[in-house]
Order: sequence, then structure tokens, then C-alpha cells
Amino acid sequence: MELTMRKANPFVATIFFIAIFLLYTPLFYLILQTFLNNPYDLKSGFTFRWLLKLFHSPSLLEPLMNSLEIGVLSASLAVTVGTFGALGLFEFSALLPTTIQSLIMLPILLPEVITGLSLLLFFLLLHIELGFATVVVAHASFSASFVYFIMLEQLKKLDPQMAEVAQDLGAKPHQIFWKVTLPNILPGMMGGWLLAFTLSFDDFLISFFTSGAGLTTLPLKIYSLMRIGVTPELNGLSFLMICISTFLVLLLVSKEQSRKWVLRG
Amino acid sequence: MGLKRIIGLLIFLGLATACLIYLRSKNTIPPRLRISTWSNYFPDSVIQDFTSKTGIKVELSYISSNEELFAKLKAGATGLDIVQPSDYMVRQMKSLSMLSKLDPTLLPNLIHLDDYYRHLSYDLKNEYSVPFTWGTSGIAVNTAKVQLNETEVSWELLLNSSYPRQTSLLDDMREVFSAVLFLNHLSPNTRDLDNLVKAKQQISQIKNHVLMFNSESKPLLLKEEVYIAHIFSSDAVQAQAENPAIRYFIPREGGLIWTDNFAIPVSSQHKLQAHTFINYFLSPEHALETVRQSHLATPNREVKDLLPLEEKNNPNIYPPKEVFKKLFFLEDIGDTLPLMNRMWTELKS
Amino acid sequence: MNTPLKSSKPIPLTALVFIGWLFLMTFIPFLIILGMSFLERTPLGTISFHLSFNNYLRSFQYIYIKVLLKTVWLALVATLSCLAIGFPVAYYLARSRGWLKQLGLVLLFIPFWTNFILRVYGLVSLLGNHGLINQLLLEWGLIKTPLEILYTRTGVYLGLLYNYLPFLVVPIFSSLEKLDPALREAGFDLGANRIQVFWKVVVPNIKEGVFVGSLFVFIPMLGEYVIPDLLGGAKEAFLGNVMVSQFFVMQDWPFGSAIAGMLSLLLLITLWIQTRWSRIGGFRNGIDNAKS
Repeated sequence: MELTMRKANPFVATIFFIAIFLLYTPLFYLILQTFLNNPYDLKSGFTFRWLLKLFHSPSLLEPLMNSLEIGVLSASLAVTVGTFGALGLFEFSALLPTTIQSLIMLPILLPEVITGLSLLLFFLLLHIELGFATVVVAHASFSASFVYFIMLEQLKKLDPQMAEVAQDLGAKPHQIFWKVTLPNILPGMMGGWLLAFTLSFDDFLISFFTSGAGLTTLPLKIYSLMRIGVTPELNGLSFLMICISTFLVLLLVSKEQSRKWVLRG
Repeated sequence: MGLKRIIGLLIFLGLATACLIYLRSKNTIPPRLRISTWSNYFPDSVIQDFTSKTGIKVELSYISSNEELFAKLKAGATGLDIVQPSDYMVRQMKSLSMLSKLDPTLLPNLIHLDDYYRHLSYDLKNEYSVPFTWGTSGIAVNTAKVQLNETEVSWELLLNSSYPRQTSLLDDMREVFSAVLFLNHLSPNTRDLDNLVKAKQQISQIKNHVLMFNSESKPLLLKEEVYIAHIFSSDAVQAQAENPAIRYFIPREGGLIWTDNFAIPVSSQHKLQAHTFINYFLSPEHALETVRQSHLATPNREVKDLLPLEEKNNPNIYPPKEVFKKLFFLEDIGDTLPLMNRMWTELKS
Repeated sequence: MNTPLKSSKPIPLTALVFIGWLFLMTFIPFLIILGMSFLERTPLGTISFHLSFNNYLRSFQYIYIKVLLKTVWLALVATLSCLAIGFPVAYYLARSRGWLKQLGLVLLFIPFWTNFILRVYGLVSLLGNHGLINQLLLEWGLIKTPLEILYTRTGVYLGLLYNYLPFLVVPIFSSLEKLDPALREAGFDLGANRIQVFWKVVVPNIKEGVFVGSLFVFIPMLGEYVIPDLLGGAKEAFLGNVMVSQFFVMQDWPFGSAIAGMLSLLLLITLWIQTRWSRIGGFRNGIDNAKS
């Protein structure tokens, strides 16, 4: 054990710190720009103006709410469907026919452009009006497979003997369920839900294609602000969102239980 | 035993989610007017004014080309209540029955429009569209960075730029083709294949030098990312208002003139409110505010009379008569359009 | 009956919910877009139900093959670069212990969880003529004219590298974590030096995971739309951009679908190479490492 703890190669360490530095430069620059009088001049002085402006623009609040609602609902849908799949296929997962395996992998492997455009054609063909529901369903359509894989792993870890032991000790079926089975699969569901939520909240392309004209999510709003060049508000927004993601990561990492799920990305 | 319970739980979760999705998508927030417009037309204050006066909530979304708007509507963008196609796009959408017929009784303010704009060839009687603004396409130059002879500006300046890495072209097929066709002293509406092929070759040369294709060049000009931009007059005048070194030119070979209109897509579910909006912005007092703040050229006779002199006499907004003769509308080029589409795809690939 | 998850009767039904969902929401739409690629566009931009291979013939023209090659080439170079940088990063993380590891992971995950479009935006403002890099370099007198990075192919490449790096570090990290430390020790005990242990023990044991991880970076890069669009100045089109413009500008859905068909073909070829390279079992295992 101690042998593996020999000092890391300084070359490797250097690359690590340079890479981390480079990963953060754009993010820090966005934050810095938020507080510059003129975002394109480093010496233009400090201001809270842009950040305050953000809180006075209701046009950003609605996309944020939309993104949250879509994330929550599509994640719940994905967890339902994905868990159904994992429960059903758990025992056969090693010997599934290739067709089924590829079908499960398809949403993960297909590039987002194809997923998005094919769903768009699908909805148009069925004359389904594009909007909130289509985006939720579209997001769940690809995140369900991710949930499936997480749940599969979780179920593999589940020790069937635990329930037997509980039964032998005289536990009633509902007690077994609430005290043994559920606590054992819940972390998987939570992890899957969180992943599905993140995928949805982060998604741009699939929302871009399936939202029609009546719905704006946060990434769509950022994209449109970027294109028309409304930078100051956008910088305020970036600051806020970087804070949120930092907070989320710290929160999740601080809890032993969820750390694993963060690591899976 | 446990399995059944899990399934029960899942079914419950699934049903609850489905119900929430259904309720949320049915109950699409208080009815609001969704308007697809160009990025620089309606200042926030004007829209807020409209909402406080009429109680109708408005949400704007932006397009960067007519083709984008057309494709969006075709691809099931059903939420839109008002769109702002340009002249030739009105004709195209009209012919494909994508626009709903306007109700003149709901638009009493139509009488304020200049006669010329009530009888434009693409929609002779304003049956489907109402002009909101008009303008030209030309070149904006940051004169603090670029030396030039202001009396002899040619499309050369843009297409053969001496600052290629500080030059941007509109990301718009018809506009870019027109610029090259003007340079070659041809009509922007030519259907002659040889001329178009030659233009395509020129564009592919130019493309390798210039910084980018972009239809929102105002922020780029202001940030001095570009010094020379292929631009719509409205953007250019707005940029000039913020940085006086930025000047707008219609090249001597000629330029495009366009109108941007109000129209209501057939799929709109708030047609009445859409008419209210259009009529509101036809009324001189309300149109004046928008036109003045956004430095637009107005087709509204009375608004023009009310404008301050420096707006009314700005040659970049209202070109003088001798320039007018060199301005052309884009027209429907029929069967040539798919060919041009194909060339543009190849150019952008 | 005596274990909570072993009652075999209702199982097929629950699985059916999932498989039916996938079939309806992924497979059928995919078939639709493939089917669309065999139809034709009318001059008005509508679709005529006329079976033809013209779209594919057109997509195999020199110009689109060039886009395809450019897409594959840039994605490949970016994936390899991600690997070259990502491997040491993951290796360092896997080897470190205690608070340093925790901190390293947290540092890695914050950009990973930050919105993708926002990260692209960060790069756009960093690389521009008046972005931080050019401002500083000009200030320090290192360059006379701003570096041309944004809106060039280099910009697109940097965008790919920047945005996908964390996605490759994570699977490499988790395969390194799974590596049994006893294996390395055994290597040392047998008298191998660090370099030998690395190449003979570490690499063979994680190559599967690394390969599949790279695949999961390479494939989305092939279908990338946003990065070439925003960092390439609408001049450096990828297959994804050509495809989307057929739908959202040019009104030529069948041709756009044919490009989608082409992209799917590329995907199949990539996967075929992958399965040739490793056994199915390893593939599945790797997938679990890579993303799940």
C-alpha cells in the first residue's frame, strides 16, 4: 500500500496544474468581466452594475424556471423508465441479445444533432405541438439509458441475502421493503435522477430542435444573448451560474453518499 | 414482495410526472404574445409600455436571417404570433399559405402609412403584411482605423478588404450574393447561372480571408473586433450613435433596399392581440418612440413628420434621391433559389 | 420469493416499458430521419415522396467529403490531444491521496458541471482580438498585432479540447482507480522500474477503459454543432453544421437527413473498429466506466 504512495512524477504534476489552470482561465475571466466597467478593458475599474442589472431583467428568470421545471420532470420520467428497465433486465443483463443491447446504447451513442433532429421529425410527423412537453420527453428519451446503467450497477451490488436474513429475523415484507430494499436502491435512483437532471439542465441542442418557438430554456437564452452580443448581462449570468455549479459540486462532494455519483459525472 | 412495491412506487412516480408534464404544458403561463423579430428593433422600454397600456404580455425572440425564420415556421415553430419577414420573404410565405390574412378593421392606424408602402409589389393591398420599417444594406467602416475616400466607396472595400481579419460579411445568402453581383455590375436578382457560378467562386475566395460570417455585427464593430462590416443600415446607424467614428456607406455600384414587416403566421393562437400589437405600433405616437430610439427608417408618414431634424435628415437612415435610384429590392428568383441554396451550402462547407 | 428481486414473473413486463420507450423515442425517430434521406425536396422546399438516392449521391461529392474528412480529422486530433493532456491529469489524481485528491476532484468537477454554452462563451471572450490573451500579450509587448485564434480552425480545435477534456479525464481516472495496487507492487517486487511497470502493468489493464472513454469523446465531437458555429465564425462547418443548416436555413430536409445518414455511417465504422479492437465484454465494461 505504502509503495504506491511514492511521489508523483513532477512532470505529471506540472501538467495537472497547468491543465487545471487552463480549465479555469475562461471561467475566471467571465467572472472578472462581470465586475469590470468595460468588460473588454482590464483597467476600466470595478463595478457591480452588471450583476445588479441581471436581477432587474425578468427575461432571464423565466428561462431559468423553464430549465428547472424541465430538468425535474424529465429526470423523474427518466428515472421511472430507466429503473423499470434495470429491474426487468437486471438478471439477463449479461446475456441480452445484441439488438436489445444496441437499442439501449443508441441514445447514448447517437450524436445529439441526430437525436434532436430525428425527434423533431418524429414530433412533426405525429402533429405534436412543440413546446414544454416535447422538450421534457426528448430529454428523458436519452437520459433514461444513463439511468438504466446506473441502476444496473446499483442492483448488482444489492445482496439478496440481506432480505433473506431480514426475513429469517422475522421482518414483515413491508418492513423488508422499507428497511432493506428501498434504502439499497434509493442511492442509485437519486444518482440517476441527479445525472438526468444535469444532462437536461445542460442540454442545448436537443432543446434547440424540440422547443419550437414558444419555449426558452436557459442554455437557449444564453446562446441567443451571445449571438446578438448582449454581453454585460450575460457576464452577470455567467457569474451566477458558475457560483451555482461550484456550490452544487461542493454540496455533493461533502456528502459521502453522493460523492460517488458526482464522480460518475 | 419487494419488487411489487418498487414497481408500484415507480408507477406512482411515472404517473405523477406524466400528470405534471401534462398540466404544465396545458397551462402555458398567462397568455402572451410571442414575437419573432430582429435583434435591434424594439427597445425594452417600448415593450414594457405596450404591456402596461394593453395588459398584453410580450416575449421577443430573435432571428438572424429571413431563411431562418422561414425554416423555423416550417419546422413546427407553432408558438409565434407575429413574425417580421422582409419583402421577398413575405412573398414566399404568402405563396405557401404560411401567413394569415390580416383584418383591416382591426388596423385602423394603417391610414398613417405613406402611400408608397401601402402598395408594395409583394403585397399590394397589405392583405398579409404591414411594413414596420425599411432600410438598406451596405458597409459600415470604423473610420478611426481605416483610411478611405468617402466619396468613392465601392463593394471592393468590403469584398477586397485591406483589413481582411477585421472584416465580416452578413451570414445571409441573398445579401452576400447581392454584394458580389453588385460588384460585378449585375442585378442582385439575376437568374443567370454563369454569373452566379462566377459569384460563388468569388465568395469562396473572399471567405478564406475575412474574419467571419455574422449578421449581428453591431457589437463586433463596437468592440472593434471588426473595422469593416457588411451590415444593415439600422445596425450601422445604431453603432454610429455609440461610436461616431463608425460610418455607413451605400457603395457606388448600388445596394439593397428592404422592408421588414409585421405578419401573423397561420398557427398563431392570439390573432386578436397580434392585431392590437401591430395597430399599436402603427399609431404615430407609439411608433415615434421606437423609431427614434432605434434610429429606424419609418414608412409612417406622420411619424416622419414628427421626427427630430437630425433623424429626418440623416442620409444613412433616409438616403437622398440620387442614391435611391441605385437601390434594389430582392425578388423571388424562383427555380434559381434551390441552386443558390446549394451553392451557399457548398460555400459554407 | 424469498429474495426481494428474484420473483421472475413480472420481469419481462417491466423491461418492456423501458424497451418500448427506447423503441418509440429513439429507434423510430432514427428510422424516420433515415427514411427522410431517401425522399426528395421540391423547389418550394416541401418534401415529395419520391424514392431516390440523389441525396446520398450528392453527399458523396468532393465538397461534402471534404467536410467529413475535416470533421473526422479535427475530432481525432482533439481526442488525441485530450488524451495526451487528460492522461497525466487523471494519473496524477489517481496517485494522489487525502485532501489533495479531494481538492483535485472538486477542481475538475466544477468546470464539468458548468453549463456547456457558458464554457464556450468563456472561450469566445478569452480568445477574441480584445480578449484577455491578446490584451495581455499586446500589453507585454510580446506581439504587435492580435493573435488570430477566434473564428479560425484553431479556435474550433481549442474549443473541442477545452470542452471535452474533463469528459475524458473522468473515465481514465475511474479505470486507474479500479486498478489493483497489488499489481503494481508485484511489478516492483519483480524488479521492474517505474517506466516498465507503467507500460507493462498499468497500460494493459486500463487501455480498454481509456479507449472507450476516448470513443465517448470522439463520437460527440463528430456531431458537434455549437463549437464550430460559435468559435469558427460560421466558416468552419462540421457535418453537424451542414446538417442543421439544411433543416433550419436551406429547407432541404432530405439532404440534411442524408448527412445524418452519413454521420451515422461514420459512427458505425467507429464502433466496428472498436469492437474489432476489443471483445464485447470489455466494451460493456468500459461503457460502465466511461459514462453511465
